[in-house]
Amino acid sequence: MEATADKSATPPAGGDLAGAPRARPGSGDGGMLGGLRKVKRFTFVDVVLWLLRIGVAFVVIGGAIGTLIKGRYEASQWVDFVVFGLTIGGVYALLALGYTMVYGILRQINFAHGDTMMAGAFSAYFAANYFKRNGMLESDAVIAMVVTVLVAMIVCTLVALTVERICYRPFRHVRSLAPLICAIGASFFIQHTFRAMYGSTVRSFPDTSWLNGDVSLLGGSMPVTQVLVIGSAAAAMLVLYLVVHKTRMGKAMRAVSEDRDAAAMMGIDINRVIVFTFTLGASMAGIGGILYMLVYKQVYFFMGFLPGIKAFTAAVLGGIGNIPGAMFGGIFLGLVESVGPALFLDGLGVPAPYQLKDAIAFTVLIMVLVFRPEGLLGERRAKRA
Amino acid sequence: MALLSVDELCVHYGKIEALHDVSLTVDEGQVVALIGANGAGKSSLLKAISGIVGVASGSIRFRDQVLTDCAPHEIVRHGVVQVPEGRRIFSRLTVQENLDMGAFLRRDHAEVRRDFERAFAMFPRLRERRNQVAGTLSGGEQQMLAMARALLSKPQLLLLDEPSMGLAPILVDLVFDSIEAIRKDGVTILLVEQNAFVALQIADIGYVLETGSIVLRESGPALLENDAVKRAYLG
Ligand SMILES: Nc1ncnc2c1ncn2[C@@H]1O[C@H](COP(=O)(O)OP(=O)(O)OP(=O)(O)O)[C@@H](O)[C@H]1O
Ligand SMILES: [Mg+2]
Repeated sequence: MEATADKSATPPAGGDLAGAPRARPGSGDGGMLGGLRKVKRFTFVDVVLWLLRIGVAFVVIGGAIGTLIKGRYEASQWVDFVVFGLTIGGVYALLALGYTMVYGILRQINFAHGDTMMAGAFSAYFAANYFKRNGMLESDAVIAMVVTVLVAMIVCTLVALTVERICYRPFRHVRSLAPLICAIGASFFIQHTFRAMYGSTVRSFPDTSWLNGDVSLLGGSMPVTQVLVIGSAAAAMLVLYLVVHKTRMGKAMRAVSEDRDAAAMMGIDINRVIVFTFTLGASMAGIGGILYMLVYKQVYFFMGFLPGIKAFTAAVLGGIGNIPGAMFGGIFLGLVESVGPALFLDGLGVPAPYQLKDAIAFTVLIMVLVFRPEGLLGERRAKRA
Repeated sequence: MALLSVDELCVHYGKIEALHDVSLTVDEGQVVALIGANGAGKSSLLKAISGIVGVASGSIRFRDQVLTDCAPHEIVRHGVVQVPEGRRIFSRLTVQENLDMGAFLRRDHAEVRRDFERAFAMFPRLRERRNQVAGTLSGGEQQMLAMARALLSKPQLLLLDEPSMGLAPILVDLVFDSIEAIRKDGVTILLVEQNAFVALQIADIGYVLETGSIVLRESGPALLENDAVKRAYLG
C-alpha cells in the first residue's frame, strides 16, 4: 500500500472550474464600479474586456432592435424557435448533468462524456433497427423504445465506468491534469473505435409512423418528436432530481461532493459513490443520446463531440458542480442557440445567421468563463467556508 | 486487552514527519485526552486512526482488527467514528440528511429510529431545526450536529477532535456535559483538545503530544497537577 501519501487527498473545497483564484486586473468582482474606481490604472486587459462587453451588448441589443424593426419573423416562428430551443436545451441539460455531477465528486471534467453519449446513441440505433426489422417498433412501440433506452443507458454506463476505472481512479490521490488528458485520449479512442467498426457514414434512426406528424397542443401544433423529446428530458430530470435528493446513495453523493473526507468518516464508501455518480450521469447521457438522435436524425462516430462541448458549456453556465444549474444552463443554452441567430444576428444583416449558432454557443462559454466563472447560478467563491 | 492500541506509529506528509513513533492505548469505557500545541500532530493521529491519512510505519489495532490497512468506511463499520476538527458538517444538506449520513451504514432501522430519538433528546435544538439546511446553523448547533451525526453511526470508540473549538464558555460546558453522557452510554472516547483544562478534568488518562511524539502519559488528575503541563497548556 502507499506508504506516506494521503490516503484520500482531497482537492480543495472551493470548486470552480477556473481553479485557483485568478488575477483579474482592474475589473474584478466589483464589475462596473470596480472598473470606474480604478479608472486611472486602466490596463490593456481592461480595455479588451470592456470592448468584449460592449461588443456583445451591441450585438444583443442592436441585433434585437434591428430584427424587431424588420419584422421578418411572425409570432408563430418565434414560438417555433423557442420550442426548438427547449428541445435541444433539454438534451444539453441531460448531458450537462453528467459533467456537473462528476465534477462535483471528482473536481475533474469528464472529457469522454460526449463520446459516451455517442456510444449509447449508436447502440440505441442498432436496437431500434432490430425492432424495426421484426416490426415491434410499430406494433409494440412502447416496449421497443423502453428496451432501446435501456440498451443505451447500459452501454453508456459500461463505457463511463471503464473510463472512470482507467482515466480517473488511478489518479484519485494525486492532483494533476493526467485524468483530463487521459479522458481526452479515451474520447478519441472511443470515437475511432466506432469509426473503425461502423465506418464514417451518417446513419439515421429508423423511420416510424408515430414519430412523424404533429400534435395539437395549447392551440398550436408541434412536431411529435419535439413534444416527445421535451417530455422525456423533463421526466428524466425529475427522476434524477428525486434520486439525488431522496435516496440514500443520492444523499451520499451530495455529501461526498461537499466534503469527501467527512463523508468517508461517516462510513460512506467513496469508490461506490463515484461509480454511482458515473452511472447516473451515463444514464442521462444514454437518454440524451437517443433524444439527440431523434432531433437531428443522425448517428455517426463524431456525433458526441459538439453536443458534448455544448453540454459542458451548459454545465459551466449553470455553475459547474451545481445540479439544478446544469438543467438551467442546458435549457438556457438551447434557447440562446435557437432564438439567438434570428433575434440578434438577423437584425445586424448577417446573411446566414443560423450558420453561426455554434459561434453563439461558444461566445456564451467564453463570456461566462471570463466574466462569471462561477456560473450564472454558482455561488461566489467567498461564500464557501 | 486495550480497545485501541497504537504502536510506534509514524505519519509523514511528503518530507514532513507529523508523527514519530507514537504509541497509545485506550481501554474500554475510558475517556482518554490527548493534548498538545498547535501543529503537534493531534489531528494527524486521529486521521491516521480513521484511515484518512496513510501510515508510514507502525500499527493501529482496534479489538483484534488491524485498522492500518482498512479504508475509512471500513473503519467506521468496525465501530471507530470521528467527529473531525472544524465539525465538517455537510452544510448544504439538511440537519436530518446530515444525521442520515451518520446512519449510512446501518440496516437496523428500528434501532436507528431509537438512536435518532436519543440524539434529539441529547440535543433538542437539532429536533427543532431538523429540516433546516445545516450551513445556516450556529457554530454551537453545528458542533451538536457533528456529534449527533457521529453517534448515529453507533460508535464503540468515538474520536473527538477539538469539540470546544470556537465555542462560548457556556457551550463548551454543554459539549462536555454531552461527552460525559456519551461515555455513560458505554462509548469509549479519545478526546483531542486545546482546552486542556476541561479535557483533563473528565479524562481518565491524558497524553501530551509534542512535535509528533508522546512526551507524557499520566492519569487526568495527575496531569492537571503536573508543573510542566500547567506551564505549557494550562496557563
Ligand atoms: N495535509 C497536510 N500536508 C502537509 N502537512 C500537513 C498536513 N496536515 C498536517 N500537516 C502538518 O503536520 C503537522 C501536524 O498537524 P496536525 O494538524 O496533526 O496538528 P494538530 O496538533 O492537530 O494542530 P492544531 O492544534 O492546530 O489542530 C503540522 O506541522 C502540519 O503543518
Ligand atoms: Mg488539529
